[in-house]
Amino acid sequence: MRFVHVADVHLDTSFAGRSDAVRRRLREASREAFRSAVDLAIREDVHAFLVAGDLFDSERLSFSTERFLLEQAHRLGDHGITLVYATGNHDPGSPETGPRPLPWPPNVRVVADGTPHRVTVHGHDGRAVGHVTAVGHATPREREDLSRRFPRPQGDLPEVALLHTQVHASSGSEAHDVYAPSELSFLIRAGYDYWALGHVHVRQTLCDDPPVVYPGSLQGRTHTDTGPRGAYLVDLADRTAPTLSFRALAPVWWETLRVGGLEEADSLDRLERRIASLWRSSGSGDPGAPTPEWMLRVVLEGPSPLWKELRREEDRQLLAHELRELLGVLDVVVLAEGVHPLLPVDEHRRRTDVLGEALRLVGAVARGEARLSGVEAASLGSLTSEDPRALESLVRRLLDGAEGELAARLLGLDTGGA
Amino acid sequence: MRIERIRVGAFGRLRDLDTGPGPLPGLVVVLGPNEAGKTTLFHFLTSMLYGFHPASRDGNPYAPWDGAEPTGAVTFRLDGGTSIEVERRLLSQPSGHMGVGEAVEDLRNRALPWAEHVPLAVFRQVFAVTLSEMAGLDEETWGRVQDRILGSMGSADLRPARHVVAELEEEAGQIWRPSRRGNQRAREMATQILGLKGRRREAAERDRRLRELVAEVERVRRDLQDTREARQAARMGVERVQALVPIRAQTLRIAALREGAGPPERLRGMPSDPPAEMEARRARVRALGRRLDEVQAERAEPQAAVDAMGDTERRLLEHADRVSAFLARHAGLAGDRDRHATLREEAQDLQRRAEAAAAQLLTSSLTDDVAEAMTRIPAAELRERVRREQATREERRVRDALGDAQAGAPPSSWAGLVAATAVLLSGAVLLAVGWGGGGAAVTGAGVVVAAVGALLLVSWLRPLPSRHPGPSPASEAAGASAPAGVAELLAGVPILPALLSEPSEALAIGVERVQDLLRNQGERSRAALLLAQRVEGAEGAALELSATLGKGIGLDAQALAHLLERELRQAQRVAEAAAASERELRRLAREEARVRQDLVEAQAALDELGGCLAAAGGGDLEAGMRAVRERIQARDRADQLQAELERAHPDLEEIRARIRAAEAAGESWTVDDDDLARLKASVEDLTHRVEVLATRAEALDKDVVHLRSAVTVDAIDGEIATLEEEERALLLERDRRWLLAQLLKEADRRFRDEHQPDVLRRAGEHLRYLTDGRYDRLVVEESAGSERFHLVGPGHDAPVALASPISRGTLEQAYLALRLAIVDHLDQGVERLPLFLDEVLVNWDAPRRIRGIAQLAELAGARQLFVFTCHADIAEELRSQGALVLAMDGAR
Repeated sequence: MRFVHVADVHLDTSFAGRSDAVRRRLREASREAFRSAVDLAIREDVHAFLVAGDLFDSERLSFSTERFLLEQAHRLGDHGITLVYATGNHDPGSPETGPRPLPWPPNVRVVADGTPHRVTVHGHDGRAVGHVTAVGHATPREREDLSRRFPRPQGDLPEVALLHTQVHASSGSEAHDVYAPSELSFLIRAGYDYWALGHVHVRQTLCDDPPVVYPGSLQGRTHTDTGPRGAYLVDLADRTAPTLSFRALAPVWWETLRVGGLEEADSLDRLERRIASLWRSSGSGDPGAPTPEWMLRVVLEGPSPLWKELRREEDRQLLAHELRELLGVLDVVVLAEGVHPLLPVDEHRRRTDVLGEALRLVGAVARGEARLSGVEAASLGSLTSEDPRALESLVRRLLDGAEGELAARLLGLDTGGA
Repeated sequence: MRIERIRVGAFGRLRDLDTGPGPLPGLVVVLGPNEAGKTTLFHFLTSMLYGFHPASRDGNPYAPWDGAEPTGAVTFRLDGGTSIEVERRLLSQPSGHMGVGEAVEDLRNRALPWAEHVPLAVFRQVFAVTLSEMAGLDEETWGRVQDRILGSMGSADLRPARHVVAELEEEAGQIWRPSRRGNQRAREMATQILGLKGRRREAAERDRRLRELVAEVERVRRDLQDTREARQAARMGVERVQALVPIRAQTLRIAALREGAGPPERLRGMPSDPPAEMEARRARVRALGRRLDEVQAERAEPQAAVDAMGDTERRLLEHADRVSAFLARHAGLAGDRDRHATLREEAQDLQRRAEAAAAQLLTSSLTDDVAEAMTRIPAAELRERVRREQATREERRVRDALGDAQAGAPPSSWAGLVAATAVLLSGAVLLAVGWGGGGAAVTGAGVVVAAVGALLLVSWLRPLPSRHPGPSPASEAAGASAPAGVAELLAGVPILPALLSEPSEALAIGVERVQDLLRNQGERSRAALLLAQRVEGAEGAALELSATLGKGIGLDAQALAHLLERELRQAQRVAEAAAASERELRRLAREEARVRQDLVEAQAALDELGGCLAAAGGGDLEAGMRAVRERIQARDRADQLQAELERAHPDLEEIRARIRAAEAAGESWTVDDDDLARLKASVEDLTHRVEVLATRAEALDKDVVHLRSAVTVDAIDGEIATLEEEERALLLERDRRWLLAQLLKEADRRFRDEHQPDVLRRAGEHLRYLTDGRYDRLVVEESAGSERFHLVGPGHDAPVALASPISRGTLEQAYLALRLAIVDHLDQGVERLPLFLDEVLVNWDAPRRIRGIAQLAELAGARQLFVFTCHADIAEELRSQGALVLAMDGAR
């Protein structure tokens, strides 16, 4: 049995971006990626197309996206490809919260609850080539280990398990709320030839024998979703030696570029050139390579003669705009929280005055050796949790790089304003 | 630490200042008027302690203007008794050395290690605040001074912490504050997000509405399809009544007509109007008969022309080429005869002239043999030989003449020279005349005379022996052989002997003349002979042609030519007319044959049609013609109706199929008006419904298109997410600034808590002494929203704010007390740095000044004090307390 395995397509997801045009492009990119996955399935003449949950964000599923989905399902059907779709926490199947029933074509099997469904996949000659057993999410907050519901497979044909789950210790799982947790050791022992998983957006193979695979999100959604995104093309013709091939399909890639050593860049122009040089030397921005469209986040760090300018939102936006033009990328976001003035902070820390006292106090608070009276959750607008640890964490984050600004303000250097 | 000796090489306006080897005491008064260099001395000492700042000669304001390098040395004595020698200088780069005992350390521009606990800025501000900084202290200024003293420990490079805190809190408050007071960017953004959430609900509602509309569109389109099908069925009913019935009737009519016309093949070839056709055919037979007669009559005239061509004309035309050639040759014959006569006359004249010329040369007449011999003489060779012979004879004559002249005249006489020149010039003149047209003889004479002249001149010029030359062998030989050469050429020609004895140019010219005349005579004779032969040939040909044509021999060539020319033209005209007539006769023959054939065919057609028509009428031609006409009309009518039907109904075959289907289904073809009216009403109803549904579907489509183009939930969620991200960033920025404010407040509080009590305690002790117990404490209390120094004393119920209207003297005493306390606090437990006081006692009243001086003298026991003043009385008072007075401008 040959199949394409995708997950976390998140059609109609919301994208936070600076411009409506960029957001529109990102929304369209998700559709393009899914269309490319269907193209891949047709081109490779597979038998099945597996979707491991979060095909869309159910509360946002628009009419036009419904039509798009049905159109792609029909395309697969026209080529005799079975689409098996197990729902996830973003597109659960309960009548209250799940997607409205769609007029799926006959080649589509939607598994929208916790009952295992075993779908026989047929070859183009009508003979069975394998089975896909799927369990879906009935609600957006499944807490149960749904992998325990999978029956022990029997038979001579390849058996594939399809599930939206968070396997303990999978890379990147900390970024996701804990839904439908499962244990890798159980999955390995469950008797399936391939575990087609979804939920964690980082592509990874948790086990090679049998393959336990997260293909990652089909199209990156945030700056944490870096690198190529796509689907797995799997061939289980030989159950003892499955072949997996990852195919990058996402038209838009996300990347973060950290730029330090800013001391020499004393103008926005020179800073742009330094960033461009780093970007090109990273290989991602090689003008000769067939590159996708990039969503680039530039994180500036360390002392800089331009720290005043970089504190100003309008200057950062100008820099981002010019970088976008210079690098030919889809969008650029410039972050400069870690940029501070070119000041000998260590020297000032030794002063016997309020500046020295303040710098020493920053270190003490950051290390948890001192507390600031009057600083509590209610006084901080960005804090939404009452958890004291959250408060401490936020204070430490806010004080990161604050020494330079404190020194600059006390020494009467222009701080650039709010 | 004390300063024991100061040596200034150059620094600002100071030059070669040395306080001497004796150590300076603890209290030093620097006395001098304004601009005397007191401040310069303070900066010199500061530079010795901390190095040069600025560290470049160009940037340092105390680099001497005269170009001297800033340099100096100071001897320090540490509190532990160690003596330190420090020397510094500022060239392009600062340098410094420090000697401790025998050891010397390179300081470069570093501060002394014993001064590092007090930063340079603090030293300048706390250890050396001048009176000018204390002058005119208003509340704000005093507040800053307090901040500097207690908040920044005098660091002038720092802004007051409370200002920075206020600034940070203000900036944070502009972004967000817990209360809703004032404009807050984050709350404005939250309002925007709220608005977007409203739009999101609208988008969700639009999406729901869109799905409803699409479902309705699908329903309406299904209904529309059903209605259209029903209308189509009703229309077919109406059509059957309205369209199929007439067509069916028409089809039946056509069928009846075709039946009446009978089988089509029986009418094939029949005219539509048989009587008219019969009459037309008869008329054609008649017309062809008449035409045949006309053609036969037209043959007479061309036949006569053909007959006019007789034997005479034929013979002439047979020999037309010869006649034409004869006529052409005859046209040039008269000219040839004239030319022949002329040539003969010219030949005879030339012969006579040749004989006359020959008579000048020959001894006999010019016979043919002689003439032949003369024509063979090579004229050029003869001329050359004659010329050489003449030259030989002339040379010989000159030699003879020279021999005579030398014998009679003395050599080298001027007469000889004149004679030779004259002969030479004469020869030259003759040559010129000869070349200018005087002829060969003159030219030859000129050559001879010029040669004689030249010989005479040469002989005159040559030495005597050479003037008697004998004849040269070559000349002799030439002279002997020349006549023989001419005679040899003229052998066989009887030349007059006189001409041969001394051949001359005349001989050669005469021979050439005879040759030319003989040659011309020969040419003309040959031409005349040719012409005579041609004339003779032409006349012979005329005789032969005349005989051939039978024209008799009595005619001369001229008459014969005229006759033949006239008759040939006549014969040619007759022949041309006969040829044209023969062509016309052939054409008439063809025409006759064609007309005859047409006549046969027309008659056959007439007979055939008559037979057919008679057969159709049972032997009666008239009846047959009527019957055929009626059947043809029936057929044509059927064809016409068929064509009309096809034009009106392009889909006639389909209609016929439907008719056949309806007939097969047993449909009734008899429908009354009521049935038709009901069917039409039904169609109208259904049409109206189709229109309504179509309009509805169209409107729904537009609505769907409109709704599909509207912004969707995910797009608005994107905007919301963007704004929320920006809001989070804003709030983080706000929190960062607010937290910095809180941290700075805390740092300021901690610093004051740590340093303020000790400073205030020490300041209180100093103040109690200076004010003689009127004030015994300094405290910091909240006043007007900020912390301020207050004075406390036994005579005051409440703390007195250290601000106006308190006296200036009290202010300065409190300030001095604070400074003394701060410096004690700062170098507590470490090396005590010297303190510099500038005009501290000027505004004090006498009792307090006395106490102040006593206080300073006491303090000088523990810390060296430098008091700068321009008041000599104060200096004297301090001197009385053991101070050393350093008078600037050289006085000590």
